[in-house]
Amino acid sequence: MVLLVTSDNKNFVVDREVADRSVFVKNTLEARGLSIATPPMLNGGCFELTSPFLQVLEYCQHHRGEPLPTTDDANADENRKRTTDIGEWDRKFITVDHEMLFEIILAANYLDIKPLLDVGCKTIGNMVKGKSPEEVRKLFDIVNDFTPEEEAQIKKENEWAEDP
Amino acid sequence: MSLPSLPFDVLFAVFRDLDVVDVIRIGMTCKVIREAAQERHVWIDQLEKLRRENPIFKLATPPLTSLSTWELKTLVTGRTKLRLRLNDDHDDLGFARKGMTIIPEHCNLLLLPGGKYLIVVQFNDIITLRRIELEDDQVSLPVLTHIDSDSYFWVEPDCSELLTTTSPCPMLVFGSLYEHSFFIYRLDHHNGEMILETTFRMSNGHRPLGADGQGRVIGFMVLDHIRLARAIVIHLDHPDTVMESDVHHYVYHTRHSD
Repeated sequence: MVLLVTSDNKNFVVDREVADRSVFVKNTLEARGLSIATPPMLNGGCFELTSPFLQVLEYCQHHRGEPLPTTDDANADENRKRTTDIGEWDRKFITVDHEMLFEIILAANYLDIKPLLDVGCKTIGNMVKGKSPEEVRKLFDIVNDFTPEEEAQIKKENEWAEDP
Repeated sequence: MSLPSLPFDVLFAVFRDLDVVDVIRIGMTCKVIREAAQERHVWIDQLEKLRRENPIFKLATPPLTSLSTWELKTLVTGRTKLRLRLNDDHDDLGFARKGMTIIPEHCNLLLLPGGKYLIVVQFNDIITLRRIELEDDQVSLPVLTHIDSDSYFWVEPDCSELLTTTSPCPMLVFGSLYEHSFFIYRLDHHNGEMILETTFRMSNGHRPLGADGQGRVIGFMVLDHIRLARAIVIHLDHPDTVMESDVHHYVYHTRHSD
């Protein structure tokens, strides 16, 4: 068992096998011979950690014991190609509001949980596919901060990509 | 928390799952995402994807390191535009237009310095070079030149390579195993003529592998199939000077086996 401490000082005791889903935690534990790990994101204080962390733990619990992806780039690419679809459990897991989706992705990125990062990125990708810039802005509440001149220029450059 | 506030690394991972058109569209939403979508390796990822998905785009391309980000983007978007317009029937492998059939295995698509495209079709002993014009939603493929191979050389798709160098004047290098020669042509941009610069006799098994952007062509001669090979380097300015050196334990693969 290992103790994970978040930046808002909540303690989580989890099986080593679950904690090891995070390459960051795994390496930290191995390097220091410790059983306590503080994920780095919590120190930054850029967001409330506990709620995405609970989600991430749920994901790690479900996928415990599965082989970790290799760090070999060519291999990772192969894996990516083969798993273009998101699995049933993962799809349900990642069906959350946008705020939580971004938090989970950010946590997966910091904690280095590549399969979870992939699931999150593919989910965003699926939402964006085939949408116009305006539709994407609306979907994610993105503020159009281009000047009218810039926007006209960008539209002109990319005219061919406008129509789906 | 919003999409533009995600780290660039995460945005890059999102872009990798998107098609070229979607990357461009998402890049039109706001300044930060546009900045991420202009990054060099976004376009390298997209180029790799195009090459994997479309055999026609898999062939000759200048070395990526010699291209600016703008050229990379041009290469990717140009190929995508071409695909979108040529494949009305969503047939990625073959296309028929204006009574002409092009079989992808027999043609190379090349980006020339200056952003022009050239399509080289090898079929029935004849090599045809066509320029690709993308204007006003129309694709035209005007013929630049024919090389009639039956006069003195024969090119079989399986045993020839066609390369461009990135010198200001495009050089096309054909290697024919049948004739055991490299044929080095210079393409005149203005009148579209192919001018034979030089030929280089090669031993059986020589194979042109690539051009390095400084006017040098690298080739290999396989001495026995898996153990020993000989590297040869020809400088286009001094085609008579050939540098050779043995390469031991070189495992030889043809590009068709991958």
